[in-house]
Amino acid sequence: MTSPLLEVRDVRKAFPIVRGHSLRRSVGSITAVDGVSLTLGTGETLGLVGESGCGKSTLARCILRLIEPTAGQIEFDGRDVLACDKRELRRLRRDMQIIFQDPYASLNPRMRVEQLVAEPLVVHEITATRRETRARVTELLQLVGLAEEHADRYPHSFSGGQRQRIGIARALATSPKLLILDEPVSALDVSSRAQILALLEGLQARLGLSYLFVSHDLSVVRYISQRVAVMYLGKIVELATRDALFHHPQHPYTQALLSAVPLPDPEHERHRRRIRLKGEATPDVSIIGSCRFRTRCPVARQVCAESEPPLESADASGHAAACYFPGTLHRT
Amino acid sequence: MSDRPALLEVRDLRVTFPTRAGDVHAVSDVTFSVGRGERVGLVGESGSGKTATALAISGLLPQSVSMSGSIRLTGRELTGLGRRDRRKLCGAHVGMIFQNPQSSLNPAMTVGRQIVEPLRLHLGLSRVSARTRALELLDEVGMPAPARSFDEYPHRFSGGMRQRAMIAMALSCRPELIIADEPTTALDVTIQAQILELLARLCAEHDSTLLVITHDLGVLAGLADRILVMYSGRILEEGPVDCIYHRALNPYTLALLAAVSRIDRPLEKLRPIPGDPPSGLQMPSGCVFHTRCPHVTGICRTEVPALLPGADPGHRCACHLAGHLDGLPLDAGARR
Repeated sequence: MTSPLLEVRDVRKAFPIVRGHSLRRSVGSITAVDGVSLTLGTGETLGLVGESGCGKSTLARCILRLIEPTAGQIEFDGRDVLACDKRELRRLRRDMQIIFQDPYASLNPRMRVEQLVAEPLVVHEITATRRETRARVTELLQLVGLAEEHADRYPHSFSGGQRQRIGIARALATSPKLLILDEPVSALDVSSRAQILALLEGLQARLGLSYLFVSHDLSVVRYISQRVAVMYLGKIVELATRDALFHHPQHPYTQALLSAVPLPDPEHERHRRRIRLKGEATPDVSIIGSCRFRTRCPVARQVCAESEPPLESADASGHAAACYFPGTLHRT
Repeated sequence: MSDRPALLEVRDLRVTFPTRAGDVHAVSDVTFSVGRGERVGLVGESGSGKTATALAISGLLPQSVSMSGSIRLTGRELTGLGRRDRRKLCGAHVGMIFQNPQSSLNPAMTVGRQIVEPLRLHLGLSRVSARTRALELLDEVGMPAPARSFDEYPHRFSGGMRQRAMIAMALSCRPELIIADEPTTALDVTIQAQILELLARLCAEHDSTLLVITHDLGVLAGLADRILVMYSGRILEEGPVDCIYHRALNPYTLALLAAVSRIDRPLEKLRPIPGDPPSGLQMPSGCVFHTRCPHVTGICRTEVPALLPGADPGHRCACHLAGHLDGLPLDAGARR
């Protein structure tokens, strides 16, 4: 990997817990992202996996400064994202775009496809004349596999997969270097899911894009990513190259996640032993200064309650797991 | 079909939604049966008519929708019944679990009251015994602290706990048939695994019959005995679970399997099914899948293929080319 396109260092985001109506006061805070560091190279795809509430979407939004992180540093393409003022930020966002999960909610139903795709071109003053805009819109629609005649229709007349294509065309309008994809295929059927994944793959190869691919679906992340980070309650608990993570998962949480993925193979499913996790991930004060996964972990011991395991690489490949007993659980 | 006596028999079911643009044929000529104690999976993409089929069985389709054909539950015909009789019958004998527990639970009622309601209504239990029964149910579905959960409102629960509450409601009257419509689609993987395990365990314990509707073939492999594959309102293939996953004959089933990304195989390129399903307003002539099928020939465009038996017992496939696809690229790839 050459010098990274995106570098996130120790980013933290705490949301206040607010009580009361007329006398609103903050009674504490929830730390959704708690000291996350990661890098993303040019043309690379980093998968960010975790279950709902782990902070993966919050982190994605912090990188774009759609929400302001509480602490940390974010460097994108050699520029300090958090130091940017409004104008600089707008300029910066040409180069980093986001695609949201729900293509039914993220497109304005009262705008035609042409207007939707042209909006970023106009806002960022990329095209000067109407004719130029129209030509670029047609080009973008073709790029994502839609036809020119789709330009005059409204979002409601499209299927979920087609709507996601419109979202991708919008994101690509400013010729970004980085796409943050927040669960881009989770709302889609298997067949449109495969279409969108193939499209994203093709676009990356053609345009040299970098992807931060946020998802809870491990099979999709395995398909699209070169490296994968697993998040649990605001922290990255394991970070590795794709094959290392899927073949030799080290953190018990990663192992449990993998064992929970349903396989489309009846024979295998009948004899499969799952790692069963107790309860659900709940953020509370007791996790401070200890391993956050401890209360649900099948291999937790005394030391896990006494201090928090750091995210450390065990080998030269950079495979890192935040666990005192990595690899002790075995997947069947 | 199945060797067990049929609990549910659906024959020539047609469901048509009138819309401003014209009639949408959601379900056309669907015939299948579900044996007592059997677990059947109904697979299809959105718009395939799988949910419309489920709603037709449970009597929850709006009245404006026209429906024909026959639906028999334990031998009794449901289609001709009046609304009250039907509600009485389905309320007590059919339990429904919906995809999104967030929108299918009443936000203004405690979870306990929502479970007690059907018990009082359909089983005529007293207030006290209904409460006792509801607490048992909450415990049975693995709800932590049942007594406390009983008095909580749904918004206080996580997605997994809400789905457990839904399952408790669906099970409350000990229904003979449980219909689960995308029961785990909105859930995280570890919670999904818990819920699937719970459904399998409860069905085994009570010898319940289960009809699971999903677009995800991964979910069904460990849960279903038999699979029905639906596309554009028609059943294109049905058979025992191993047969569908390993010896499917229909190009649509094969394409669906090839489109699934999975973690148990060496990585290979996904092969998406090109194009989109037909709109329902204009059904293609002949085989409904012919517009996207890689093997389409002349007869596919003109004649509707019948569901004909395959080599395995209980295996039926609606394709003019079934059994003649060996060696074709999609076929070979999907099987390996």
